[in-house]
Amino acid sequence: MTSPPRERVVVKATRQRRSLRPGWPGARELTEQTARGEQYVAHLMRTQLRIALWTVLVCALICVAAPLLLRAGRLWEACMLGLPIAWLPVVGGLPAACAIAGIWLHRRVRRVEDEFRREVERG
Amino acid sequence: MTALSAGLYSVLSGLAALGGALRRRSGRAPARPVSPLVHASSIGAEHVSIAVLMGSAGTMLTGGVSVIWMSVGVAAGHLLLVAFAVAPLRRSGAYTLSDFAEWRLRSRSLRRLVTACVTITGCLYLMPQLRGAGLTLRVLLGTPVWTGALATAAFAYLAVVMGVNRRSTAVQAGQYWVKLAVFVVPAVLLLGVAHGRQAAAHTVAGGAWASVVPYGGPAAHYTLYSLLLGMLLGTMGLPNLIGRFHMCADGAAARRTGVLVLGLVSVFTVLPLVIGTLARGHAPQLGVHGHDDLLVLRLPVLMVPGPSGELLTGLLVAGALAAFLTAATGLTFTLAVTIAQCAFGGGVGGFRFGAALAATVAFLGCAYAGSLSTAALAAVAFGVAAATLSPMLLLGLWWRRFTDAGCAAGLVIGLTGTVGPALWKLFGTLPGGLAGALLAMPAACTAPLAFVAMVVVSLATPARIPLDAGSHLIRMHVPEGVLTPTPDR
Repeated sequence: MTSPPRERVVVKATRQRRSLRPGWPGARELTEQTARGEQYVAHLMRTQLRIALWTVLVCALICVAAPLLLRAGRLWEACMLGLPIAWLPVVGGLPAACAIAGIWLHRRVRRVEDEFRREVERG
Repeated sequence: MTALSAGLYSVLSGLAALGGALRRRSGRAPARPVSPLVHASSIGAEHVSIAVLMGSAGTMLTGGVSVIWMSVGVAAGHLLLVAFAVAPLRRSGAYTLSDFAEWRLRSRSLRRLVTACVTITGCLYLMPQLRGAGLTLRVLLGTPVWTGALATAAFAYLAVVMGVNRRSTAVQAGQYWVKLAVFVVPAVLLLGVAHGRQAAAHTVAGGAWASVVPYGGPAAHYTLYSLLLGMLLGTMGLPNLIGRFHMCADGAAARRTGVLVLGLVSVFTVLPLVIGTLARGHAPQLGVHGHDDLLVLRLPVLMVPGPSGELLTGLLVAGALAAFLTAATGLTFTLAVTIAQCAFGGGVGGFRFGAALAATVAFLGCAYAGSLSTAALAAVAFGVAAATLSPMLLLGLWWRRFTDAGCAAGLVIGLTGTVGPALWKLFGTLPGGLAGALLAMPAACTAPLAFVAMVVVSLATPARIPLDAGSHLIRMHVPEGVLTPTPDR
C-alpha cells in the first residue's frame, strides 16, 4: 500500500433492475467474502470470461479465414456495380458477424447473471 | 457552390442543435434515463471516426484495398469492448481510466503514469482530427492546412472551456443519423452514376491493388496484422469512449448499448471501400497528390460536373468538418478532465490548463509531422492505446492478482515501445524492410510484451496486491441488485 486509499465517488449508485432486500443468506456470504462467497464469484467470473473469450475467438477465426478462403477461390475478377464481389464478405460480413456475436454474448451473459441472482436468493 | 452548400448544411445542423438544447432546457427532467438506441447513437456520433474512414478511403487510392482492415478492426474492437470491458467498468463507477487505475490498484503514483498515457494517446488521436479538419477546410476554402488545424484547435479549446459541448444526448444522437445520411447518400448516388459508366483509367478488379490480403513479403503481412491488432485493442483503450457508458442504468444496459454502438459503427465500414474504389476507377488524378488523402472529398465534383456534383461535395465536406470538430472537442474534453483530476485537484483552472495543453500539443505535433496521412496518424494513436491502456484495462477488470508495480512496468514498456517508434515515424524517416515495418507498426510486438510484463511483474510482487482487490472484483462482476440495498425504491 503506497498511499492511504482515497475514495472518489464519481458516478452515483446505479438503478436497480430488481428490488432485492439486503440480507439474503447468499448476499452476506458475498460481502463478507467467506470461502463459499469467493467460490460463487470465481465461478461467475469464469463463466463470463469463457463466454467473452469464445465470442472473440470465433470472430478472430472468421477474420483470419475469410480473406484466405477468398484468395484461394480467385474471386477477385467478378464485379457487381463496379465493385469486386469478393470484398463483400470482408466489409459487410465481418462487422455483421461481430454484431451478431455481440447480441449472442449479451444474451448469454444476461442469463448467467440471472442464474447467479437466483442462486444468491436461495443462499 | 460547394462552399455555399457546406455553409447551408452547417447552419441547418447548428439550428437543429440549438433547437434540441432549448427543448431540453424547457421540458424534460435532467436525470431521466435515455433509451439505449438514443444513447448508442450519441456514442456512435462521437465515435464513428471520419479520420479513419475518409483517411483510409484516400490511402486506398494509392495503397490498395488492404487498408480496409483498419475500419474492420475498429468495428471488431467494439466487440472486444462489449465482451470484456463495458459492464464491469460501468459497475466500478470510475469515470476516467486514471480514476479506474487508482481505484483498482490503490496507488496515486500509478494514477500519474496512467494520466501520462491517456494524455499521450489523446494528443496523438487529436492530431489526425486537426489535420483532417485542416485538409477539409483546404478543399473548401483553399487555405493552408495549418491554419485550418489551428482554427479547429482553437475551436475545440473554446468549446470545452465554455461548456458548449454539454449538449443533450438527443442532439448528439441526431448527429449520428445526420452523419449517416451525409456520407451514405452521396456514396449511394455516386455508385448509381458509376454503374452506367466504364471505369476510366485503372481497372478496379484484379491485381495487387484489389487484394484484401497484401501481396508482398513478410513485411506486408506483418504490417497488416499489426494494424489489425492495434485497431482491435486500441478501440478498447481509447480514453474518450469509457466515460460515455455511465449514462446507462446498470451493467447490463451498458452492455446492450455497447452492442448497439457496435451495430451502428459497423454500418460505416462499407464507406471507405465504396468511395476509395469509385475514386480509383473514375477520378485517378486524385491519387497523384500523395498524402493529401482527404481530396477524395472532391470526388463528386469530378464524377458529376455541374451544380449537383458541387452540392454533393458540399454535403461531404460539411459532414467531414462537423465530424472532425465533434471528435476534437470530445477528445479535448476528456483530456482536460483527466489532466485536471491528476495535477490540479480537479479545479476549473486545471481543467482550462488541460484543455489548452491538449490543443496546443496536438496542433504543434500536427503542424510539424507533415508527411503522414490522416489514417496513418490515427493508426499511431490506436497502436499506443493498444500497448498501454488496453492491457491495463483487461487485467484490471479480470485478474485479482494484478498489482500497481506490474501495471506500471507494462505501461512503461508499452509507452517506450510505441511512442519511440511513433516519434521517429512522425519526425524522421524509418528504414525499409522488415525492421522498418516493425518500427512503423509496433503494436503486434509491444501489446503482447506489455501484457506479459504486467503479468510477470504482478506475479513477482504478490505483497502489493491491494487488500480490497477481492471486494473490487465482486463489485465489478456481481450483477446489480444482489449486494446493495436499492437506493431509489
